[in-house]
Amino acid sequence: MSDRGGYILTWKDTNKVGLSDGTMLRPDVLGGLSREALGAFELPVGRERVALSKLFEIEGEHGDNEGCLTLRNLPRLPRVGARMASGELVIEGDAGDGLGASMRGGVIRVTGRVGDEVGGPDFGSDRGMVGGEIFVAGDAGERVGYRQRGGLIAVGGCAGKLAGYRMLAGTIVLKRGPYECVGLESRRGTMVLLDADSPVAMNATMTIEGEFAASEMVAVGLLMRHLGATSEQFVGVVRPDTKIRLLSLDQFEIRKAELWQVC
Amino acid sequence: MLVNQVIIEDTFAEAFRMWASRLVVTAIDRTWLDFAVREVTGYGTSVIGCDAEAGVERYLDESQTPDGRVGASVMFYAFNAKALQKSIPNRAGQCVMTCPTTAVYDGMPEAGQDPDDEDSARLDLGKHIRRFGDGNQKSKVLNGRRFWRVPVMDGEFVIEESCGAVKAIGGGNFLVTGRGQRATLDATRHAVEAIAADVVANNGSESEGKNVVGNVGGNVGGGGGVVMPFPGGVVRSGSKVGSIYKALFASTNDAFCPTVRSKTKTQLHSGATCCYEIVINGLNAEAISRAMRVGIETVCEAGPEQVVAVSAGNYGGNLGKFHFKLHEVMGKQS
Repeated sequence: MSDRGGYILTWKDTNKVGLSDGTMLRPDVLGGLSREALGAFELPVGRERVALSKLFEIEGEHGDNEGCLTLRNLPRLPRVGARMASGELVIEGDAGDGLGASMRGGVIRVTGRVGDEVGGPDFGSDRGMVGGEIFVAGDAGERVGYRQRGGLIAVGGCAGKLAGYRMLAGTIVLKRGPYECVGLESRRGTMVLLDADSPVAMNATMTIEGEFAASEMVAVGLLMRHLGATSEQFVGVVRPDTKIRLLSLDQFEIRKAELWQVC
Repeated sequence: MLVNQVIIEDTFAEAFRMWASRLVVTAIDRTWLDFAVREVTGYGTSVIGCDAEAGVERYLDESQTPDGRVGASVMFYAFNAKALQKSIPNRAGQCVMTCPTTAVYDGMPEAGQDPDDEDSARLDLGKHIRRFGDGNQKSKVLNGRRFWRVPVMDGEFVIEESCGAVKAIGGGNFLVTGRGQRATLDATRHAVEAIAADVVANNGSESEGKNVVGNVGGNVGGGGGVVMPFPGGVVRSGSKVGSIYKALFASTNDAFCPTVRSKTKTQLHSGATCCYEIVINGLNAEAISRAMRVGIETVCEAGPEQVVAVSAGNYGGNLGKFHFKLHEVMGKQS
């Protein structure tokens, strides 16, 4: 899975220390560095700073697809790819909490599972991700897209409760249920729930707008085609005749938050 | 020069710098796609009197469009990007949005992304049309491209926020002179069909995979396409520059009009009693040259009983920047 080019950083199993923060592990910070500069790049460990080459095995050549960075064997590191603005970050394995916090652009792909608040707000920010796309192949923790302001998060596995909590805009796609307290207090944005066997529990802020065939909602076709092109997990999940129930959330406020439930 | 006993005149087609933009229109089925395409390319023959020259580049199947429905890639040509900017949102709003089930996407997503690039531009497409939603419009950003969803009475009209435009060439052409309307028209129409088929064959392999699924919208066909904006691709009222009337800057190309042969410096060969023109707008000189060759070859297949000669329209070479010499175009055959 590594012929996409760019540097590949593999966490050394022999590390006795733990990184406290993964913010700098992103292609727009590290991708353009020469190999020497990359190896000397200092990462925070406790109160000290340690050269990256002491913590990671480095593979790949400088100049070979600078926009891409692959991370392997990460410990449960928080806030990997936080505030990332461009490029492609691939995480082979799991990632910790706050993946892509306050992310602005680019793409993050995770082959394993992730912690809480994917695409949530970074320290010092009251907004979650504003742009870019995050694909998680495995499960995600609680509050996926907490205060998300834009962009796309797609989870191929299950997500913990409160996905889309206080969402401001953007799109969250959850392939598998159950769906607990999704889209609570969201203002705008779209929650896409693809598991027909896990109907969302209605509450007082939800209104059913109607049921439509997927082919009747062009935006569904557009989204699913994009997801399918990026991840095989989403190929064939929605067919043209699949019924989609459209719900409005938060009917007492702006009324622009919506939820698409496959049924 | 003779091809299958048909005379190829030693002359050239004179073409101009234009700007082109491409939209991908999709709909629930081919019937409604055709209605939309007919409207959006309507009144789009010549910039002498229309806001843009418009035509279908090719039809797209479900695997080639951003939303997985049947579609068509439609191109628009005007003298500059500003003129396209005026024309395209109007056409999208009045002709496509009104048509049941349709959606509109940018067919040149790479164009105009670099503000320093003088050869391409970005035009507003759905940027203002979205306001038809009266506050109920929503947008989705996928792959860095913004799509507006405007609520309409059959669901949602999806239109991309902006579309690309590039420098291109308009006015590539050739003239077919033959023995009578029926014979000449049939030969000319076959040429139009052959050029359209060549656009599909030429671009088909490129558009698979690369442009389609992986990239929402995709750059359909990878470029190089042509359109023939006149009715059925054929013009019967070819024009020359100037007129005896001061107010008119173009008038009938009388050198090829069979009923005034004796009154003008006719260029019709004896036996030729009818002339049709195929006008080809394309993204670059190679595309136009290729289309001209395919078209002329097809015309010549009809043989001397139908077609007498193939010529081309020019204005003495002073007006247009691009000259397509017929002998050179045909010479590229071998």
